[in-house]
Amino acid sequence: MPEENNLLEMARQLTVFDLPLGVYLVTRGGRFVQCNSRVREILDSPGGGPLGRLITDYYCNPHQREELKRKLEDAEKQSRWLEKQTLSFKVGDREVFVQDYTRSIRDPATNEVLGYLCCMVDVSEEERYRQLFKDLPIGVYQLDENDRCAHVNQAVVDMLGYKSAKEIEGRQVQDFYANPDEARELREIMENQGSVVNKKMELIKKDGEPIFVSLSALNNHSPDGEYAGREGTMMDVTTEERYRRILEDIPVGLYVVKSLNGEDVITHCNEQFAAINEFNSRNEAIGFRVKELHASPGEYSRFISALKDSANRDEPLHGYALNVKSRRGSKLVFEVNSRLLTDRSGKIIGRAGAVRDISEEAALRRKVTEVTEDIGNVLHTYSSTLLTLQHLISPVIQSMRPDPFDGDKEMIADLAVAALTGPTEQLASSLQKLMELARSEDRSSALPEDDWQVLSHLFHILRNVEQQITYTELRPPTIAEAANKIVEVCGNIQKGKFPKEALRQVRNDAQELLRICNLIALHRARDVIIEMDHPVRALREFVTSNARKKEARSVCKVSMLISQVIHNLYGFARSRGVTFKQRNDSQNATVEVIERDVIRALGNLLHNAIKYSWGRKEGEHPWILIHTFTEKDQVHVAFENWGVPIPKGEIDQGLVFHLGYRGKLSSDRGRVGTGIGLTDARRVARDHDGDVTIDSRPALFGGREDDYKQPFLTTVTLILPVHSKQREKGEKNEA
Amino acid sequence: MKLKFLWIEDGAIADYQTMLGPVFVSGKYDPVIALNVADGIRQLRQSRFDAVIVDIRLPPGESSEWARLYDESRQNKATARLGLKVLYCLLGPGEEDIRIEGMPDWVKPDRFGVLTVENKSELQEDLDRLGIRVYRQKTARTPNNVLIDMIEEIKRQMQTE
Repeated sequence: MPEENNLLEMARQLTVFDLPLGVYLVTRGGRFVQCNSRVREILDSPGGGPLGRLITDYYCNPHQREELKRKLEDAEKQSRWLEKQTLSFKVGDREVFVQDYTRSIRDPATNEVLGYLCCMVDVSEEERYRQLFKDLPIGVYQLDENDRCAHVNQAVVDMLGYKSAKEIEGRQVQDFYANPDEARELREIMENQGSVVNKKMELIKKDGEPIFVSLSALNNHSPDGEYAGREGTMMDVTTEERYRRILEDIPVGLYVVKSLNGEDVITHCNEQFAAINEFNSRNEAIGFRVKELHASPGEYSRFISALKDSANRDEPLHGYALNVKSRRGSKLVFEVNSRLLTDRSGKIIGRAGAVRDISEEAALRRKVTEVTEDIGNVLHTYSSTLLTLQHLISPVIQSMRPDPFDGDKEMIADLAVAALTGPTEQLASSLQKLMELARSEDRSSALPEDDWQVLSHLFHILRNVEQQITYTELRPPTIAEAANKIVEVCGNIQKGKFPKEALRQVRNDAQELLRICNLIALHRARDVIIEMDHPVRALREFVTSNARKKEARSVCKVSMLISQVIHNLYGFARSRGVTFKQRNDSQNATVEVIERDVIRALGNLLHNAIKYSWGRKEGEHPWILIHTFTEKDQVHVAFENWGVPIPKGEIDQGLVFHLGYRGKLSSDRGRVGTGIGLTDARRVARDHDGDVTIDSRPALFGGREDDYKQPFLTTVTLILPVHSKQREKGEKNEA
Repeated sequence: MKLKFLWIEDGAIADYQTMLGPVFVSGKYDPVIALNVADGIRQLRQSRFDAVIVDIRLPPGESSEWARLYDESRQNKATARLGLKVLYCLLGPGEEDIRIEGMPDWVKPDRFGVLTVENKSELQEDLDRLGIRVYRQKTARTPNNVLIDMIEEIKRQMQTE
């Protein structure tokens, strides 16, 4: 006790300035009245006595003192002092953080504040850590032993899209994971390994948007070694991770090849690249000599040359079909898109690229090319065959003169029937005479009764052919069949049973009738050949268009193109008795086109117009109007015909432009076709930035639009841009 | 008594007229021609036929229902076979696209034959399902008495059964 009393006495002799922390007294205005050595130490002002400066001289932010005064006033109203205020002081070149405790000294009489008695503790180190924790641009977090968020810095708050740390602190960390399994997995790793470095995790922001973070963490342990939570950092790597996942998921092989010690070696690639080259993993592919993946050294050289050629044109290599031998020896074809990589001096150091397995496509392409060539050859043979047939038919027709038909006219049913009427009557009459001559006693010995019945039946057909065969088109083949049968049956008649003259007359009349029938058949065959000639040629042109070397465009006068097309189809038009009327409102219009293609396109349209034309008036030839005009820098070539309608639905739905589509009414009167002409014409027009339009409406005023039995006026127009120089010239003249 | 038969064929008049010459001249047959589906169905409703010969690719005629089916089927060239659809609608085992009401009882597979450019192997499965056994392919070597040949086969088939 005496010892303690003594100690107390000694302590009583000490002043507040002898306390082991910084103690200072300042006036209301902030002038130092007194401070102890610890304050001088903190403020780096050695010496004794009061400091000759104001406390605000040390404040990094002098206004902060006024705020502290207000806080103190509030605290003292509640009988408290102001405690633990962290102040930032400027001491020389340094920033010093102190934790300040303050009370006021007041005049006992007036209670007016005379000054302040304060303590300060240097917390610079702690504050710097706190500041670092708060301001670090990467997220820092701390979990407690139950994996609840104990502390998170502002970067975590920002990353997760919250307003403040308070919204996060206290919550289970699992709440922030996109996949709870991932959270459990991480906890297991932490338990087993104690730490993780740069592990990519998917978290969920406050608004539900997923983000990817790269997470590093370390376990905390209690003094007795138990898990006490963990702390760590996380960086937002959403963009990088999304791209990384895209690169991994994308079904295209991506790679970088670099030249190392004279060898081209794969330095980077994605899993897809490794997979399509039949590596077991990406790691197996990296470091592999890429030359060994090429089908042959020659293939490799060609590829490198192509790559360099592209680089010389300052372009990447696009769509190169490369023959490849995979790691396991499979023969594949890749489409390569690649660019050379150079260093700063321009020296080639490697290449980067994307590859796609097109083995099946390449095989299919080869097949298509072969088939295209085959079809091209077949169609070429067809054209030759048609020509041969035409040449064979013509002399046969000539040899069968006199020919009642005009050499170039289409063999229509009415013409045929008209030519057959007289000879049919003639044969019927001579047959009737023969049958009348047959006396009853000679009749059965000359010919069996059944044959007489046949002749009687045939006579009946010939005499009443119009009533028997209602379809005009069916009369010629029926009459021919009947004439043949008559010849056959009469050949069985026993000689001497009839006057030779009567029998000869029947035979001669039958032969004459057959001659006319055969001429009809030959003319019809010739018509079909002429009609098929253009579709077969056009089809061959269409099928082989991609296989041919692309022709250059040239500037052509539209009138010249039309003349050429008319010349090409003159024979067909003549055979159909179709004539042309031309109206050219654009005499000198020129277009820059692939001449061959445009002539084919125009030919398709004119061929259709001829094929589907009817005569407008009884006894008048059908005619087609070819109207050329310019509108808004485009040349229009319109083919207008009068005849077979194109149903509105087929135009509105674009069906007539479908490859192989033949309109509902296109086979009218046995017209043949391939269903390619309009498709091809529009394709050609569009390749030249033009188009094809169709209009089909009743030709007669007041006709119903859905009555397709009446004639329609159909206009099919090929539109092409006027040649640019001509257009410019026109614009200048206008100006 | 002449055998009355229906030929549903859009090219009967324009393309295959020579096939009808022997039919008329023989005097044994009474042919009726339908150039499209709608006309064919109308004929089947109106008259009784000893034989019906059908093409596989046919236009619809004046029937909005068949026209719709025709347009739909032509979007896919592999299924653009309206004649086959008609046969399924008339005879098929419950796979009708269009229900044809009021068809007489005599409309049975054994009265039907198919004359088409389609290869038999392409059609065999359908013909089997439909129960049609009389088939001829239109080729360059097809004789012009093919119709008579088919009608006689249908007649024999019916007599056997």
